[in-house]
Amino acid sequence: MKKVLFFLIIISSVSVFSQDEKFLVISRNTDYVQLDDTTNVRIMGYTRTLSAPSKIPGPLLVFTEGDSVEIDLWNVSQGAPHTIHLHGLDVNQANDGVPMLSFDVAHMDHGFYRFKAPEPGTYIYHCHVTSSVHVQAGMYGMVVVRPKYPELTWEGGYEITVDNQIITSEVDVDWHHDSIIEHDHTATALHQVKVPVYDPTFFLANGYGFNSVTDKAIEISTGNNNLLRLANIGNYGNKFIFPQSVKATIISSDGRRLPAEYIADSLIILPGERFQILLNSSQLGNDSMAIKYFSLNTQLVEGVQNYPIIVDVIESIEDKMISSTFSIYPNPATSQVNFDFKNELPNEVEIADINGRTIHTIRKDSIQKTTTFITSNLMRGEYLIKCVYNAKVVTLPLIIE
Amino acid sequence: MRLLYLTLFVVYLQSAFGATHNLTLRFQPNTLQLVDSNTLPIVSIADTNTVHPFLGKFSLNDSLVLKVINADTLSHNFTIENYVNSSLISSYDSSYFYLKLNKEGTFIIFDEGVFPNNQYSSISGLLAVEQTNIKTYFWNVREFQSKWHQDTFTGAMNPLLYYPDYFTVNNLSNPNVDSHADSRVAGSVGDTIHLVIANTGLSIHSIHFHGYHLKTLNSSKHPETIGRSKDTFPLYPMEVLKLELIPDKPGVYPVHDHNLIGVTGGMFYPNGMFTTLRIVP
Repeated sequence: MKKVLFFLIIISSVSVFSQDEKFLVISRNTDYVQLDDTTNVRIMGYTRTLSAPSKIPGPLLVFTEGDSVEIDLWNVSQGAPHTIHLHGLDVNQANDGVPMLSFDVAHMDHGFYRFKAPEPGTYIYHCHVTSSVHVQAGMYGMVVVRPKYPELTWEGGYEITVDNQIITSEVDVDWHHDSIIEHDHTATALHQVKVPVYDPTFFLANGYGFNSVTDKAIEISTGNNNLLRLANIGNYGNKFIFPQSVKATIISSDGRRLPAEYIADSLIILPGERFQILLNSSQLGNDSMAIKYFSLNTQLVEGVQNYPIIVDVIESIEDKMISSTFSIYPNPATSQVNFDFKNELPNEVEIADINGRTIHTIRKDSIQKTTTFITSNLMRGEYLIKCVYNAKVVTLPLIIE
Repeated sequence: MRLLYLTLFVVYLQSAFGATHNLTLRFQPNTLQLVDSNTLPIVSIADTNTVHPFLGKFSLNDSLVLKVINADTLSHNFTIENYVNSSLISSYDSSYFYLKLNKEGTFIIFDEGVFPNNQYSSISGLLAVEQTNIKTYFWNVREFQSKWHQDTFTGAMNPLLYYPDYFTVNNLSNPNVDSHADSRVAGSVGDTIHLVIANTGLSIHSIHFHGYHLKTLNSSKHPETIGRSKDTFPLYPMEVLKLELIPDKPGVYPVHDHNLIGVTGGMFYPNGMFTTLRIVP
């Protein structure tokens, strides 16, 4: 039954994901983040809504292989222009996010990036205006391109149970002073900008420093393949040391499969690189992965983090996807059924027969967190309940008795 | 007819045993002009009185009669990876080397004296031994810490305090590297283009390509990476990478160090290790 359900989800997902994906991204210069020791630093960053502050890193952007993606970037920074460089996605020049060669977005203006999501893998996005400054200031995030079958690493690849992401960086607080964040700029954006000596004192994994990372564990499922996506957007090298209780298989880098996968107890990732690793463990329990941050000039390690790893029994991606989206009760049903939506209301709910033909549609204005649907007009049999969201369609079966 | 046979025989000998070349290289005190108004005292190793890094290109199985003159006041240890082991040449002295170029690849020519002073203070060159008609670009990548260039000659260098402030490709920084015809990669969609990148500095670099993934054809330090298709390539000190680019679309795409301090020069953005690929339809 689980496989049938998953197949249904995939079929419906493919039909939607092959259409346009639209994202709104807002860049700002006025937010602050609190680092480990309560140090507040001003950042430049990205956010998805006007009401939400920007953070380090920016929001995770998830596309599906083959998507036609459109990102609408707004600049409300009151400062320098901004862009989005789609690092590793090999977009064309017009959408490459490099001032002078592509376009930049001035304060209170916006611009569109349009491209096809490439091979499944792990990528980065970041601002390419005065990139040394804007990236250090916080204008970056991870891009995940999922295959059409999201439970796999790629078509015909490994079946995975959980998907974790870590993007590393550093912060030198001197680069976050107002004088740097509000640097001079011109319309061309290739304005020369003086930078301080780079001497970072905070080393961040997903924006968390040495102290705050301790309660940000990644969870992996015992006995299954667990995908770990690692990206380095800092200016230091990272050495990841995997725990002995976990087998780490390096399977891809920079959005491409490795010609020869290999098992490793550690992995070095330099600025701009990404790797995908399969983690496997048969032992339940808590462990940690060390991340060493080393200078590329002296090769001295200047920061170490221990990123907790919890090995547990975890429901699979497809189970998580369904259970976190909506549930149906009672099922089987007789005269009526309730749809309980967890975090987000769908745009519409379609009741379809087993051949996929829609026989009734509940429109958005009739949908509530718990929506009751009268089933007394339905014949006995099996039906499909399709919840249509902006970026996905989730389908569950309903049985009428 | 006899002359024709003789000519054909000579051609055969040359293809089988290669041509013989004569080359003179010189250790020469020199001055490197940086991207801003600053200059650095350095020692060049070149066939002319230039600070542009030397690049000698030869065919596989050629022979090379190499004379190396030390025109500096200090002694130097002449070295070519895989061809010439460290060979001390005293001040104002010279040495001869006969090289049978039977190892294919690109090899760093450098001064293997007291590390890091000698290697750092001289401009290393490249010896390319190739058997290919594919268009190949060569990038000799390195960084400089301007303060060291005074310390170098007094023996006060400390690698643990290395903080370079200039980053170059073929001794040029942005924007000058982009107007240097031998450095800026140009081609057409569908071309096969090879790019050899040698790190003759002391820092690790991470070279990121916009627009395309490239394939690693060879790595002198990390052969396990051969065959990988990537957009960002680690480049360790004294490593030589050979990459293959087959562009699938036209455009102008940046290539730069993704240690983003490396795209600054003299503490100014964007005067560092940054150039572009220019691909036409």
